[in-house]
Amino acid sequence: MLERGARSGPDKALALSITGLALSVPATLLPFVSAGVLGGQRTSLLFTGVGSLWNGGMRPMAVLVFVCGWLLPLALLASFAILRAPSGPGLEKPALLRLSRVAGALERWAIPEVQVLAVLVALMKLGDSVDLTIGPGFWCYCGMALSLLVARHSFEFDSTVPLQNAGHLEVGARP
Amino acid sequence: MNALPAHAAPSGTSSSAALALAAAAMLVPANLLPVLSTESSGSNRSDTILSGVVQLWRQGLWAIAAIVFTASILIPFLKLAGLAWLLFNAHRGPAGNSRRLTRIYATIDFIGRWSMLDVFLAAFLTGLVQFGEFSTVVPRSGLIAFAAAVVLTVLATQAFDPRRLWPAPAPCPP
Repeated sequence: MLERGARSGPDKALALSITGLALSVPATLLPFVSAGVLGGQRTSLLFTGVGSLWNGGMRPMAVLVFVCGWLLPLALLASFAILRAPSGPGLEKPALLRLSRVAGALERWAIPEVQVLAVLVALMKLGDSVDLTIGPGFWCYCGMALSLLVARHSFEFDSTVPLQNAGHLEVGARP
Repeated sequence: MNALPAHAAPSGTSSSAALALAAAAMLVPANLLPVLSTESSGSNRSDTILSGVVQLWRQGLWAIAAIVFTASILIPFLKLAGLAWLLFNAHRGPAGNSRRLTRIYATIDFIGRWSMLDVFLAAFLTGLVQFGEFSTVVPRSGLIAFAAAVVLTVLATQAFDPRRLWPAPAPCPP
């Protein structure tokens, strides 16, 4: 599966994965969006919404947003980087196969592009009622989402097979 | 060692059907309960998913209203209906339309993620719009039901084995 997993060259997928991982740092630390109302100013970071949900007693929601919008996208990018590293990180082939399969199963939960659309919808919704400024954190997050979107197209997961049913694939793929 | 062919694998429909049923049940409170409250200058407004869409429409934000309506109302219902159709066909057995049904499964799998739009939207607004008495956005219980419905629908799709839509492969000669 690994051998036929890459649709494009390994360099492209690897470069996109590293770019996405690098962009995730400023996306997390830099201001996302600033809003002002009647002299009051508030700047939100990527995790501000997660923190508000957590403190507001909606902890499962906070975890869901954190996992789908940040943790899994990064885990997926890291998996791509490991799987396409030219010399390999020293993992055995079964371990790489397992990583590929787990990444394929979790792929549908990594949805930063949906978060990007949600932020754009929210900004349109707020419209003229507040004075909005988009910060560099949001643009870096868009870059990370785009890197993941293109990088995941470089891979061909057998995602139609549920993980628990994938045992036969492992048997077939082993030498 | 499992001697059953792939088609007869035990997983595939029952767990998927149970998850889809749970998702359908969660869609009821998700659409009836308010998902967000906006408190501004003494007034308090609670919105369900549908009333939020209507408000966007009245504001003249038709494109945004259409996006939210599609992601939060249309896709969850279409996805569950599609999944029910696939489960029915898998239960009935292959009938020559396996390729079309598999395409429907792939479409359902792809569009499902966009239902999370409202969850991210609520999280973002809750984080940003906190201006005390001027304007404050607070998430409401309908949001939990909606997120549960979306997660259960994705899990139901993930649990469905599309091989059940195809005829069993001929046994290999010994």
